[in-house]
This record gives sequence, C-alpha cells and structure tokens, in this order.
Amino acid sequence: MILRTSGLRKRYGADAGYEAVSEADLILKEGEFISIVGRSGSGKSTLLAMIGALTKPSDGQVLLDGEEIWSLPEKVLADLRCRHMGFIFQFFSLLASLRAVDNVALPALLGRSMTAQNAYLRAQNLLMRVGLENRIFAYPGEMSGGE
Amino acid sequence: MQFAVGQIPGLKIVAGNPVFTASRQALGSLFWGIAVFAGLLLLALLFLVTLLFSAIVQERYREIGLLRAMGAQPGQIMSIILIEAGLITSLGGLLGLGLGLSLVLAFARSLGLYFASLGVPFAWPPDWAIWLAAAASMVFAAGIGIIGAFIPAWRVRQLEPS
Repeated sequence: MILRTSGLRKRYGADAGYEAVSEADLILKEGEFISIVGRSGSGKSTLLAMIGALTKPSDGQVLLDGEEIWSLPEKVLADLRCRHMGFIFQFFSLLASLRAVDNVALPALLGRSMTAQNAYLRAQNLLMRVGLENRIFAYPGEMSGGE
Repeated sequence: MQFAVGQIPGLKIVAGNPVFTASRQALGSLFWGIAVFAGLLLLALLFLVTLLFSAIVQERYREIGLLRAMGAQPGQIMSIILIEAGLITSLGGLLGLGLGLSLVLAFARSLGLYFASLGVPFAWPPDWAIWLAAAASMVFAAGIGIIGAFIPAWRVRQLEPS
C-alpha cells in the first residue's frame, strides 16, 4: 500500500459552513490505477487536492508510505509535491510569461534535482516526445488548446 | 580702505566673504529641509510599494498556487517576489539618478554661474563622494522595494497550492 486516507473531511466557511468532503476513506496499492467518479460538485477535486498535498483537510489523515503528509514541515511537503506528486489540472495550468520549454523545465529547476542545463535538455526531449518540437520556444498564448 | 570708500555717497561695499557665508548658511538650511522632505517621501514610497505589491501578489495567486503545486518552497516564492520588487525599484532608482544628475548639471550652468559672479564658486563634490551618493541611492532604491514587498511576500509564501 502506498496511500491511505482515513476520515478525510473538508469544510469551507466558518461555523456550519459547507462540507465538500465528508469521511472519505481510501486505500491505494502500488501499481493500482483508480478513477474517482461523481457528479459535478460532489467533492472529487477537493478530495484529490487533499490527497495530493494541495489543500489541508479540515479533519482526517493522508498517509503516504505510512507517513502522515500533513504533519510534515512545509519544506518537506513542498519537496514531496515536487518529487512524488504529479497533477494534470482540469484547465491548462501554464505560466503565461514563460515559454513551453521553461514551463516543462520549471519543476526540475524548483526542486534543484538537476542542473539547469540538464533540466532544459530533459524538457526539450519531453516536448519532442509528444510532438511539440516546433513549439519548444512558444508561449502558452501562442499555442492551441490541444498543444 | 573700506571705511574710506564707504563714505562716498551712492556706493555700497559688498565684500565676498559675508555673501559667501550667507549663501552657505542658506544652502545648509535648504539641505536639511530637503533631507527631511526626502525622508518623508521615502516613508511614503515604502507604504506605496507595500500596497502595490499586496495588490500584485493577490493578482498572481493562481501563478503562486501553481508554483507551490509544482513544489516551490516558501522561501523560493518569497525570493521571486522580493527580487522582482528590488529590480523594479532599482530601475526607478537608476532613472532617478539620471534625472538628478541632469538637474545638477542644469543648476551648474544656470544658478551656478550666477553665484559664481557673486564670488560663490560652484564646486563639484569630489568624485568619490558622487560615486558614494550614487551607490547609496541605488541601495536605498533596491531596499525600498525589498522592504516594501516583504510583508505581502511573507503572507503569501504559505499560500495553499489549491
């Protein structure tokens, strides 16, 4: 097992507020692939955000390899997001002032896991792998939605 | 000699030294007045930079959230904001240096000539003093940006990525 959640809750607003997620329990084993489905507004994104260390739960635990992620210091949590979590957001999430190659290289640059030269080389290779070799230096505003 | 010449009607003796002394005293008072005004102006600028960067940071919540989701450390977020603020105000300082130098040159060629005709020569400060003043201005300019943006940067560094 690599991921387990226990009694996850997320409440927005003071007092009674709005409970987006209520008592969510999840076990994810290594190599497992799951889909979280539900109608619009049912709390899927909120649940994923809590599991992915993007938003702190109001209650409950998220255990990654047996460690409660929300009790980790902020620096360690940031490192976890950089090295062990990957997100593809519903709407494209690129930094508009950076080129495609800068956006792809950014996580490696932030995590300082490799030199800038290697990070850019890897970014170029990744973009070539998905057929965007001609768009390496384009800005997000110059690219189509599909790109 | 002065006494004798002073007896001639319609003639007024103006000695160089008293004029020089009076001018120096007046300029000294002017200098302190400008210094106080400049200090108040710097405080106002600091407040303005804080307000401005609070708004800028709020506008960029989405970008900052993205960076945090990618794994940016709180310190990295702060550095980005402070470096940006420092660069912007340093650029302003550079423009201000250019403008200030132009004004001093204009003064030397206008009022400076007039004072010289009264026996009060316009003397440029030594080179080292000019360079020191320029460096101090640049340090102040960068400092205003960094200090002013510190509070908004501190607040946003722990922004949740979502």
